[in-house]
Amino acid sequence: MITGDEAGFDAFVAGRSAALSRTAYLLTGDHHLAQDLVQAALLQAAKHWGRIHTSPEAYVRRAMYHQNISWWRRRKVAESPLSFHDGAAAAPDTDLRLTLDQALARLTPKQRTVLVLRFYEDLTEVETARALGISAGTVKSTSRQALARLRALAPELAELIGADA
Amino acid sequence: MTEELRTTLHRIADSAPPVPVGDDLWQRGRAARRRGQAFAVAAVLALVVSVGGIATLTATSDREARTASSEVVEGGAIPRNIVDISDDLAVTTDLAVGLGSAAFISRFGDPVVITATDGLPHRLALPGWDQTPTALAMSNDGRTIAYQDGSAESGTYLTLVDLETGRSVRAFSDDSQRLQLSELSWSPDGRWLAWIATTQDGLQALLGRVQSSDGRPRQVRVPSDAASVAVADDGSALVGLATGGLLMAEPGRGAVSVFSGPGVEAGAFSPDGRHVALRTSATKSSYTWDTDAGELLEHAFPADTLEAVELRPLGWLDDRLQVLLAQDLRGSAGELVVTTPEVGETSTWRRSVGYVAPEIANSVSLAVDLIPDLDGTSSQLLTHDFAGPRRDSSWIIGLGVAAAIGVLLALRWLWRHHAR
Repeated sequence: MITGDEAGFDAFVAGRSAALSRTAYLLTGDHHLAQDLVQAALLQAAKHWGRIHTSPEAYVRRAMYHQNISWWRRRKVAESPLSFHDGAAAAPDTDLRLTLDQALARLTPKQRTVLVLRFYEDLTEVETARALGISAGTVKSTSRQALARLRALAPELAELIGADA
Repeated sequence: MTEELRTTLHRIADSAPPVPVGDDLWQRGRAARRRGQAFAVAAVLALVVSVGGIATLTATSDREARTASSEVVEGGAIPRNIVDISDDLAVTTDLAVGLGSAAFISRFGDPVVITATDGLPHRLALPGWDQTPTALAMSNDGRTIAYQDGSAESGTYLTLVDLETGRSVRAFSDDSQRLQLSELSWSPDGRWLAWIATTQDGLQALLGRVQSSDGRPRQVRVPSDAASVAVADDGSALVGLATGGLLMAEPGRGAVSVFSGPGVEAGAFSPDGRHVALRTSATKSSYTWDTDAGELLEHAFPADTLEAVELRPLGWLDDRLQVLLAQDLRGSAGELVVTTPEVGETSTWRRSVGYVAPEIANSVSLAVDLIPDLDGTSSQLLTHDFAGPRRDSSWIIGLGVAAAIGVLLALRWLWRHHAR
């Protein structure tokens, strides 16, 4: 028998999973990780549905942001140190979309998450700070550092992100 | 510029195929919840039975040995390790949990208070708490928490909770508009509370102050990029701007610029109101604003200690010593540092005073009054390890845990056997 809670959860998943998928892909840069991220966040939502059913999307998104950073911490020991990537990356593909996609993959998860929230989710600095539980000043400085890093990684993106943004 | 970046990000996102979502997520989620509850009950029972039994057996030789969960520190202490709560921690509806040592917002947006005498976390059911993260701050004495109350659809409300009585009072109400309180800060003596309130579109910001005893709030307009605030015992407030710069607002007056320059924001006033420990990002020094001299003081980290870190002041032990939370730029665990505003003959710089898990480092506030005065030795512990045994009773705990695991395995076997 399907309960009201289950029906509400199913409706939420049906209505929002596509949007959540897009955000998850931007956060992770990987289809498989995006799938894992969405599933893990929705599983948490189902687990705590009684408490969060009035505003599930905010809960799920916050779970995705934090889960992604948490996974990254566990993965980072196997990754190259960030300094290794600080030189400009070769970008044979001239398509800006692919170049940006590749450059985003080399940001820290915090930088990447702030950019996604600010420029994809269209959140203000205050809303981004609220979603991530950090100060608006940290959002601003992280955003500035992330854009500077994108410029260093892929100079061909300068037109896209500005020379001194 | 940002429009092109936005468009390209949308193109990247739209190119990603929708991820398949399992049909059984609801069942798995609910099953996980039931398992978690059952496991928690079984674990508690097993631990009680096994540890209690072993303690009884060894009562004659080591009857005072106590485990962490039952340890009580007279007067209270800050835990040496402040970590996020587990998903399955029960919600506490009785807000009279007692004196607190730390407060934070969990990774899933729950308000949490750690009680000072036993180091235990409490997931509080605060009236009107919005599950999306809102402002939460504990006073320096650990008796009161303040938070943004979102119980009404519109309007802005700030509520105080006395942790010893559980009584809630509204400290600020504005029925006319919904503002986001992005920063909450207590004065050292806990009489004043200040906040930065921002309109939902982020275009306007207000500095708010209220004296908790008289409940008459005052708000003044500040630049829209106001991002941090500290308030002194006399109600003076220092506001930090995200784009750089500090503004000072005397009680009842507007804010005037006192410093221009990037990289520093408001943190915490010293009890005498002379100094303000500042937030910084990516620095190898701590910075303090001297309100009398109108100048920035610097204390460089000793050589071979911390790399460039983000610093967030959490309060002052006295007029000389400030408590900072240092977090490296990769977002690892935060480390508590106690230091003086400047380097000198009597200056202090102590690291590893305590640790804060990265998930909660941005929201944690401490009852810094619980940190003892320095006794001049380097071995003095300023925080308390609630997780550690008071005496060498490790063999009892080892046996207890082994017995508990045995009981749990037996329960699991019985559970599965019964399921068949």
